[in-house]
Amino acid sequence: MAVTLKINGTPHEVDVDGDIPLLWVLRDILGMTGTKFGCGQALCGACTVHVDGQPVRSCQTPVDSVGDSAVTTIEAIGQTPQGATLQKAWLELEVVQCGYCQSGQIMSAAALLRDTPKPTDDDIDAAMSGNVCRCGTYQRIRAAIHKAAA
Amino acid sequence: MPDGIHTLDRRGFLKVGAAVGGGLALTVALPPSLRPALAAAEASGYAPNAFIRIDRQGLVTLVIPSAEMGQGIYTAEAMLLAEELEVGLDQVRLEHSPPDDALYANPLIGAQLTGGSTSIRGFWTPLRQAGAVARTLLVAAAAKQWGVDPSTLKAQLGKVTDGKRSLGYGELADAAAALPAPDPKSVALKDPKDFTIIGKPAKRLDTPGKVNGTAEFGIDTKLPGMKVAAIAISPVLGGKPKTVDEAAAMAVKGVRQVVRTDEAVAVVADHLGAAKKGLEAAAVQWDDGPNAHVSSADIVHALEEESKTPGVIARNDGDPGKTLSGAAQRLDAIYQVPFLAHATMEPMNCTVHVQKDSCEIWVGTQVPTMAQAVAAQVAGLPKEKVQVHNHLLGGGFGRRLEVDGIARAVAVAKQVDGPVKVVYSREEDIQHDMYRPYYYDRFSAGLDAEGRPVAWTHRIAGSSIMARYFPAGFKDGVDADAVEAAAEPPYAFENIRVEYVRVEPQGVPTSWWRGVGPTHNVFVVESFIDELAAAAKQDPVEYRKALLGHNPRALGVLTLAAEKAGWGQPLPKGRGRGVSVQFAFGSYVSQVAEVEVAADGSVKVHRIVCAVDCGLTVNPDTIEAQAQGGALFGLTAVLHGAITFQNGRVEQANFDTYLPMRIDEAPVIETHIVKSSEAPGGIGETATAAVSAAVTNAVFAATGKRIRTLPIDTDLLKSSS
Amino acid sequence: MKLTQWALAALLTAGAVSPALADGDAARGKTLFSRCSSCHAVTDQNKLGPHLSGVFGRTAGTVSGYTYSKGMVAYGKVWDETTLDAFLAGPNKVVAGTKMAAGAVTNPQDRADIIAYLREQSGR
Repeated sequence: MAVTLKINGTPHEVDVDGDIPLLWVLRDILGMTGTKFGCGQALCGACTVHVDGQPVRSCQTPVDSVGDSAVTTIEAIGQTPQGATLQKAWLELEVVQCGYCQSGQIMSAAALLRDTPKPTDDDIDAAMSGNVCRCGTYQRIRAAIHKAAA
Repeated sequence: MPDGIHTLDRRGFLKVGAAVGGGLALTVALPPSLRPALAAAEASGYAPNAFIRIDRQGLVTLVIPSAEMGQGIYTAEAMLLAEELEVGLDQVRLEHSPPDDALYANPLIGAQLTGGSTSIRGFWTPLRQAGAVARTLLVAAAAKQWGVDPSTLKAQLGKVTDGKRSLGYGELADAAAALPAPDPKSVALKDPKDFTIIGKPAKRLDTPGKVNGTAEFGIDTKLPGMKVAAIAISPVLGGKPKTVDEAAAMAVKGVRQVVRTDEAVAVVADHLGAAKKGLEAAAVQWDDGPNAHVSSADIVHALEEESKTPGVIARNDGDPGKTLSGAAQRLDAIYQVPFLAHATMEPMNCTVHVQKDSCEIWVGTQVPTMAQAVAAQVAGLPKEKVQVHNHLLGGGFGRRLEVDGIARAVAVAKQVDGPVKVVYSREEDIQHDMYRPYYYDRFSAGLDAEGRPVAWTHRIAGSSIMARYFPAGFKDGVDADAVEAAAEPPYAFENIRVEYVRVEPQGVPTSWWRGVGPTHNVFVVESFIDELAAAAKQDPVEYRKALLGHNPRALGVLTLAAEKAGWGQPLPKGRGRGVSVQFAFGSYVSQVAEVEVAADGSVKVHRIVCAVDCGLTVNPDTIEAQAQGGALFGLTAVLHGAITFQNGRVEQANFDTYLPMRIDEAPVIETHIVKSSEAPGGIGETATAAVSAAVTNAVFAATGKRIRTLPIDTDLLKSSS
Repeated sequence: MKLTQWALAALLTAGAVSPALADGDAARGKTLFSRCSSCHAVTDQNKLGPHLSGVFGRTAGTVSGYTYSKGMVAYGKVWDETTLDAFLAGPNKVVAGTKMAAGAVTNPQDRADIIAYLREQSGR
């Protein structure tokens, strides 16, 4: 099935079965490997992208559910005000360890800050508990979100 | 720096020399995975050793011997080189080292291996020497050009200057390359008080690419014509594929090929979505093989039985048997820790291109030369024909010390034309891990009338990883790792006996898990000493202090952690504090955990205070990060971690059944680093080993109930039980 | 009894107006639910998502022991065929800030089948 997907403002035509998760279109067909594969079951958040600004797990988002919605990935989130301040805060506080989960973390955090400019710790818990970090950078993630929100 | 974009030299243009200039410019523009491995000695340009290359434009390339898995080692090792080389961290680009034990072996290990928290300890001197030698020759070249004494010159930030004139390293590269290199041991190194880089918090060089999606992990490899493959390995450990519905798999759009190896089935496709769909359609049936009845119950029963008989002595001081029987009070305890999976965020993967005379692999590995060796073996080629491109690792934790995934990928790739990226699903990753062993420990101790320990015996039963991985570490029946931090606890025991009983679980592969021996032994030793303190009716911190008089650095971190944690100050009902102290990986660490146990038995860790004495620090920010991350890694296992077996299969599959810690559960870790001029110790695994006992001792303080088996069973802590 | 033309037209009209509420196949829904089961149980066990035992007729955001997003608590409607159908068709659109970041179930029949399964599990 041929579909045109709007990714980071650019249309891309791909030819895949409709039930193929968006994650594989991004990574393997379009070569956009910033979005990561972690579990395939929407349990870890490494694959988080925005669809019309809302955070979704692209590993469980079939291509035929995207339609002409705007997809935003980590490669472009830095062009949004929230994405840019988060990336800056992430580097100022040296959040990153191995880094594999951080694309998903930043995508979830960007959606949080856009909807809740001054999140409480409870807001952060709710928005970020779907993003797993095995290196345990949570303390600095929380601090960086507060810093970006300040 | 981070992207390797080099700055033009003062003359404002790139010299596109024959091979090197043009070659290097091309190199800079390519993503790391596509950069060709450049030989250490170039036709021109300056490469005084395996770690440093400087081209005519002054671009400084540092080849890093260790693997970066989030522990900040790329930056820390770059700091060691840059300090003596006299360049700023913003003037260097980094390269993954190719497989070469002769050039890149960690001196402490004797192989090119990143693990055991040994990287700084092993490379502390050699990398500084390498930088110093390189700088010495650059200064000598400038001195020769100006006709002055080298001692009148100063090297700073990539230039050599006499106070008035200066020459950039690029301008000196050719001349320096022509000079004979001094013996590294003969070059004086800086006094630590003169460090300008080492010991100061530095921004890591790999992190900018990790916040914008440009950093490349092994799983991100992209090559022209590359296919991707989903792989299924027998659900019963050691089984083999029996039937595969190849036609059904091939009917899936995007699927190109179905590959069968001895122990796996791989579906090769244009993208992983099609590959996974094809693998499901293939409906693989398995021949279960000899391990179809393996169960955790049987494994634990075997440990219980075999640990009843004495093991091989790892330590025997005094006469523990006699003092135990004569003691005023005797304690006995059995401790158990479960099999654990690593669950790195980046699932196992390996990209391989096998051709008639060559094998090229793209992977994230802690062991490049082992990777090369196993690929050569499976491909049936000499190792000189095998190229390994290492990458940033999306988590190691010891998992990537093993090359089983690489072997499986090469076996698949042999049957595929062109490069193929083999990616494990999370389920395969968890169910075909190599697990931290289940250990079953028997303790006895005797106390005198004052409550002091007069006898201590500790028998450890479990798998020997050393016997398989590093036979030199399995001497006379003792696995050095299985008894690490148990045979040499920090306390002065006059009468101590430690024994090891090797018991191998049928069919279950075992391997290194972050913190290795100490993660198991610090938990059990610090828990049992806590039991002695309770039996002696003494404060757990004071009890330990009395046994650490001979060990000032251990005493130092214990005192610091207790002080910062407010040890002794009252806590609300249901809350308690617990402590642990250790010497492991060359460093001293003490942790105090504050936990709350609810009526339903659930445990909430509110706070962890961590005191670290790791000697001289390279990047203090990394020390703090490793204390935080290492503690959380261990804490996840204490609360949730267990791999269990039933009917020969791993019962856990994904993050719904092997639970990770999430941000809403994570406590704050407060880190206090002791300023020290002692030789650097390791930090990557240190906090992981320390956390378990601190938490379970805190549970005891809160409830009066002793946890002797991990993970914590909340049923045991219910108010009603 | 033969359907009168009138009754038939009424049935067809009902079908055309709300095709998404066509009868669901609970057995097929159980198979489809495997996609949801990593986060949701139909027993009373909370996982990454709240449990769905008895979800039919329950007010959104009220399962005890589960920490909901503010958005879900504010949404507060009762789960029935209509609300579940709308939610599954676009979770983020219906409840902004929902923790359920798994993608939408785009196929109306799939939704109907899953909902039929959930309804059966709720004993309704």
